Amino acid sequence: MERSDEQLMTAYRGGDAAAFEALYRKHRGGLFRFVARSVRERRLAEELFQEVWLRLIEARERYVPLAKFSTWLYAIAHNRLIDHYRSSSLRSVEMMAEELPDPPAPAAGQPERKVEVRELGGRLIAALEAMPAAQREAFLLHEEAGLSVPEIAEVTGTSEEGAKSRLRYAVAKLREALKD
Amino acid sequence: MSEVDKELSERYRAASRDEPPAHVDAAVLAAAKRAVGSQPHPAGAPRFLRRWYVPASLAAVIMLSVIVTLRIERERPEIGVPDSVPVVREKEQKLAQQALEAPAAAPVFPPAPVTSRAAPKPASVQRAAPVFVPDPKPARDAAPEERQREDSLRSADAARGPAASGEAAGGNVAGSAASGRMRSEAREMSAPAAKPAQSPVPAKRERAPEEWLERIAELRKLQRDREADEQLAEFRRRYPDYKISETMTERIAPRK
Repeated sequence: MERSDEQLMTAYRGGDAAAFEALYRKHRGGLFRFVARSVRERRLAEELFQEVWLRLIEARERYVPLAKFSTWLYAIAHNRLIDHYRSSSLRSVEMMAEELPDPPAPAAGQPERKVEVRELGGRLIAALEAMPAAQREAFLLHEEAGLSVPEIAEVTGTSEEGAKSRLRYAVAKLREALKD
Repeated sequence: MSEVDKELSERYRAASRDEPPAHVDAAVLAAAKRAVGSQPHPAGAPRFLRRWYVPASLAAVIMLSVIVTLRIERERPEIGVPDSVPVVREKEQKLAQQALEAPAAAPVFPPAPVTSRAAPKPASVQRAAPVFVPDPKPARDAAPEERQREDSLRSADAARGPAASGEAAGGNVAGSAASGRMRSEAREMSAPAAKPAQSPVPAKRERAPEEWLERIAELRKLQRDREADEQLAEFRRRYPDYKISETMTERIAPRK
């Protein structure tokens, strides 16, 4: 019988390294894409992705399986992204509270990005990266982490109505991009 | 979830297939293993046991303190030893009874005169002489001096009252009277004049043959030949098979 994420994390907290590996294999792709779509730059995404996992490892003793593991994991990722945005001074702190700032645009002519846009249905990705960070985050949390609206609200620290509104805006923009 | 339709979701998943590189995977997994490898509790005590370390230590300290306090409280009365303590009184009473029984039960060596055999001997000094108990004897076999001393003690007890006159009284009054007598005698025994009979030897204590012979030799040395002869005869009766060394034979032999 396959163990739940919460059971795996509890086992890892008790010293079971194999449980962590199972958790990591399950969530590595979604979390990486969540971070990568949020910062756009792959190298930075790798760095932040690694840091999120390291924070989780450090915080393992404090883990209490009251909520879904993925909610906890993506909350750590959300906080790490906020820290990154603050340290980058991209926007003022006041704006971050209401809406995550847009990450800096990739350098023009970056070959990596051009290939991705061309090969992976660039319009959808372009629309995703063009939308406000808070809306993008809500969509990514729903798609990559499989979180519900209340869970998105919990991770991002907003109300359920706010989370639902952001997700609706994001979906509308992506549908519009696909129509074009 | 109705906010995102299935088609949009499939399109997004088809377009976004990024994965972390292998070196990142390796770094994260290594960090995870290091973290649990360095934590002490899987190899050590379980978490639920570690939770009880502090309460268990406190309980142990409190119990130890209580035990030590109770022990001190119990032992305290024996530290002071006031005269009125029943334990001490009992001991004194026992000593007094032994002293009273001693003359009737065994022959008593009179104390050795320091200067001359003809010198008068105080009764208290006589009582302090070491007592041999080879065989219990009736009181009439005791030395005349001892009988006299016993009589005087009995008359003194009778004069004090029936409570102090004997074992029948058995109470603290008799005990305290006897113990008072014993204390005064002990003071006299510790006087320099009574040196040969210093140790308040309890009655009925049987000496070893060597010790007995040594005492006979001492009597001989003090020219108390009659007593030495009596003791030697008594010794022979008591230990007919005892082989006396040549040296000791010379020391205890009657002088010519």
